[in-house]
Amino acid sequence: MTLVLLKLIAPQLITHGSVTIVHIEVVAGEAVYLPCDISTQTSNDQVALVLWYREDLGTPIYSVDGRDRDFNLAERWSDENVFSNRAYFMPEKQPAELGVDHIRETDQGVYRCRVDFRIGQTRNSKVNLTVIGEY
Amino acid sequence: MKSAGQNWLATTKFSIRFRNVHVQEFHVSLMPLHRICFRAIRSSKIAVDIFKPEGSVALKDVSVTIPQAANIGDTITLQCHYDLEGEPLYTVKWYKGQREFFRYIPKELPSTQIFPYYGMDIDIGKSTPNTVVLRNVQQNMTGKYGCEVSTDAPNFYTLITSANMYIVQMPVGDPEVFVEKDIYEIGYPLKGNCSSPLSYPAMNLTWYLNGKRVKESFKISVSAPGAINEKRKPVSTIIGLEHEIDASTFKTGKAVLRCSAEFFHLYQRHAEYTVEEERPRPRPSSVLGTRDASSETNRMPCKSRSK
Repeated sequence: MTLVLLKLIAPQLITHGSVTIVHIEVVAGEAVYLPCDISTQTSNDQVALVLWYREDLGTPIYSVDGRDRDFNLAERWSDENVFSNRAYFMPEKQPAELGVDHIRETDQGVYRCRVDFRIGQTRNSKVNLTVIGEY
Repeated sequence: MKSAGQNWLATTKFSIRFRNVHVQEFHVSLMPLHRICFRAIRSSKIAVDIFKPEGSVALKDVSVTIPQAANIGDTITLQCHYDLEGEPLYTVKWYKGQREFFRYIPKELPSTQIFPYYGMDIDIGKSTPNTVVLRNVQQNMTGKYGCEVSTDAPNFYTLITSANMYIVQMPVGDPEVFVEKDIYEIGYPLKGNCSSPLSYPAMNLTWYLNGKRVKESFKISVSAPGAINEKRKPVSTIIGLEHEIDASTFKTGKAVLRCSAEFFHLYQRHAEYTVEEERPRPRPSSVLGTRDASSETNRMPCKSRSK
């Protein structure tokens, strides 16, 4: 259990090409925080849209749409069939995180976060989430 | 909008009056398998909800047409095809590797945007929602190109498709075949190698013996002496041959060894070499001439040819 907690505190960060993959392990039932860097490259830029995908699905599972408003007032949506009301995006964290409560074994998988900026290049990052069952 | 469910597409409202004659005729264009539902919202008004078929994804068939190989200096058109199935388009993004270099957002002005990429020259005037034109391509334009299409809110359906493109260095000349010796006896291995002219990337070489494919004994790539470009240097492919000769190899006393070289759709050459069977030497006649005892002892027994 100690080992698992250590991994939670210091997730492994591996860079493949230029897409960052973070490996996170979590015990079922716990909360998990999936990182997604939304920082801008230039001071005059702003985040327009954040989309979270699960790699096996063609639709986002979570979105933060601030294209026609300030990003702090962005419209949030969470797929009812995936995280539903268990997920909440925290843009103020460094890096920003998608918090997900009460992780289930079915949540295991690779998640992709796509950040669309008003000016800058799109940033993609991935999180490989491993869920350890409760024994 | 999302509360109407994942499959909800649109709602239209109509006024209908029955008794005072006027009944509005209306047409709804539906995609195959789309479903509609009528709801009475007031005494003379109905709403028509349009739904996509269960389990279907609205955006589909995202594909790219990218030349597999092109020469340095060429103008290249990258094409991205997609079927939105009636969904509104939010954006088309082009990536080289993981880096976005072009995007199209119809709602924005200007609707196209270029991100600088070292050595990439985009012809913005010729680029459209479906195509990106690259001018004067250099070797570092070799790589994986991906087109990512996303529909607009509320669904943001997203599909990405990629393909590889090589900016090639064309080979000059033909492949060359070398064999250990010209004459073979049955049971002896036919040994040789075949080398290709320099190219980037490495080309494919294949052995054929009497028109039948033969597996190579080894395959290596050798770079040109003094190649500067470490990452994309031209190489020569060399394949080896070690093939046991049997009775079927020499049908006519000869066997044709072919090394076939192929470089995308751009180059196809081959080199041939004919080897011969060691023929049974004529039996020295005891009647004619004198026998040379020393040569007789050194001579290997000749196998008789059976047909």
